Amino acid sequence: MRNADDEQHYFRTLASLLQDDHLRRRILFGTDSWMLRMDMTESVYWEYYRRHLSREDFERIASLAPREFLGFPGTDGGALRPNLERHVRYLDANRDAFGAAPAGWFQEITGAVSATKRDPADWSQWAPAVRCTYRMCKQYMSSAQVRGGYRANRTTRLSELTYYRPRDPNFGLLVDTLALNLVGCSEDQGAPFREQWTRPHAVERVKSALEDGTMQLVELAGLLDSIFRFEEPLV
Amino acid sequence: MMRHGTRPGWRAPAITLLLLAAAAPAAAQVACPAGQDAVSLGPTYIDDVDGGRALGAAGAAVWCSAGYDTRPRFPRVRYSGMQAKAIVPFSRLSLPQNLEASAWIGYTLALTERAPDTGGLLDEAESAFLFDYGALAVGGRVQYESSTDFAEQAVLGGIEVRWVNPHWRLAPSTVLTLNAVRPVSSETRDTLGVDPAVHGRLGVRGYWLAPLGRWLELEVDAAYFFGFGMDDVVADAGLDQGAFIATDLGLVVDWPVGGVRLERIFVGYAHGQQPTDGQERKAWTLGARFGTRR
Repeated sequence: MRNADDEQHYFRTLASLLQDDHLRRRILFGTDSWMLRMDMTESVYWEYYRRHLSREDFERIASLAPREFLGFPGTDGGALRPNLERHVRYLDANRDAFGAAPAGWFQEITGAVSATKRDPADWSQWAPAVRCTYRMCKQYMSSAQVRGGYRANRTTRLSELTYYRPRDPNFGLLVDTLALNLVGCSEDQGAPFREQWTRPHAVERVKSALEDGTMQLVELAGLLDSIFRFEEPLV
Repeated sequence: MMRHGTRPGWRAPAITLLLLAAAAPAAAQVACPAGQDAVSLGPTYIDDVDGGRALGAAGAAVWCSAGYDTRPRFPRVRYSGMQAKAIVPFSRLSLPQNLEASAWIGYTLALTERAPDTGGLLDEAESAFLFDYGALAVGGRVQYESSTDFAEQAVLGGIEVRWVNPHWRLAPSTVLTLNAVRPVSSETRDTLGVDPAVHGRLGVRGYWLAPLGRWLELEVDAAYFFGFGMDDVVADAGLDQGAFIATDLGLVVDWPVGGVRLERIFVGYAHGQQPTDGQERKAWTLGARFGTRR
């Protein structure tokens, strides 16, 4: 806050409200944080409150009260509230349809064990940009890279693929071929170009990345996502 | 470098350069240069290292067009371009190759066909290609060159065919070139009584890159060239044919060294003759390659 008096008044009032047994269960940290993101990042917002509140008060509004609000048992134990019980039953019944590993609290409550690992949001195999990147580049992977699987190759650098042989007199052909297929694969998905992108610009931008070689596959997928308006964009 | 000229300065090397232009090794792929279309013009100070000095202007204009066709079966690129370069001294001064105009056209064809994405887990998906035989390129270039006073003029032409498939380890990345020079006028040749016939060179180059286990890789670069219609003086210098091979055994590493990374340590051996050199030479090399990777 810009005014020190306002700041003192705000935190003094908040501290007194948190002394009230009834009110302190209804004060949740961060419920209006989206508005403040225009002015600061989450970490700044988080640190600001940690610095100005006691440890107990911060724990109360940032952890205990939200848990209680969502229907989780308190620190002294107890049962799930009916709303959360219903949600757990629904999730449990549809466990196979998640497509990703359930959250830790769900596994803890239900005893569910999932071998599935969650895909990073920027490397989801259901995102067209990722599918094109992986499918087109896979032919240039070593057998060890292929054995590592799609997830392990998220951070594989382009220079680690077999097309990357800059001393080959035909390196330019290899780059042309891969760039055409990367852009072509994206077009095959029916995705239109984003504003200001055309096919020549797209191919040349991808060629530039392929020639440079320092980009990771996840970054290449991000590049395609920035060129094409896919139905399922990357986060 | 041999001198045949009748004038001081760069005249004689200019002729030599024109002769050797046909002998150049496999040129870069016929494609659009980085930056593509550009026009430049600026003042230049010229010193011909033989006492001649002049102010002049240097200019260049490049136009290049690339047409990208991303169709699933045989995606392709068409390159076509033109370039003109000139260095014009404001006073009389002979310079080699100070006026050039060239045009080129090239096609790159990916010998692939993409398979449709049928969905499913990526690790269980079938190949993304119905076939993949690498990439093929054909290209051609014609060039006109002249000295400042138009006393030496020549037309050069060349075609090239390239093919590469990194999936076939034993098959070399291949370049075939055919270059020829047709002198249009040459006072020097007239003085020497040399026939201004077409002369040229056929070149073939193969490149292999073979990984040997996880850390080692072997590179082999071999080339052979054969000249035809060359002047005796050039043939006598041993520039009419020759072979060259270079091998390189590299240890692939990725070690941080200060702010850069050591990427490769290699030992190499080269033996043979480059088209622009009449002598057979051999050399051992030991080196390291550094990069600025993130």
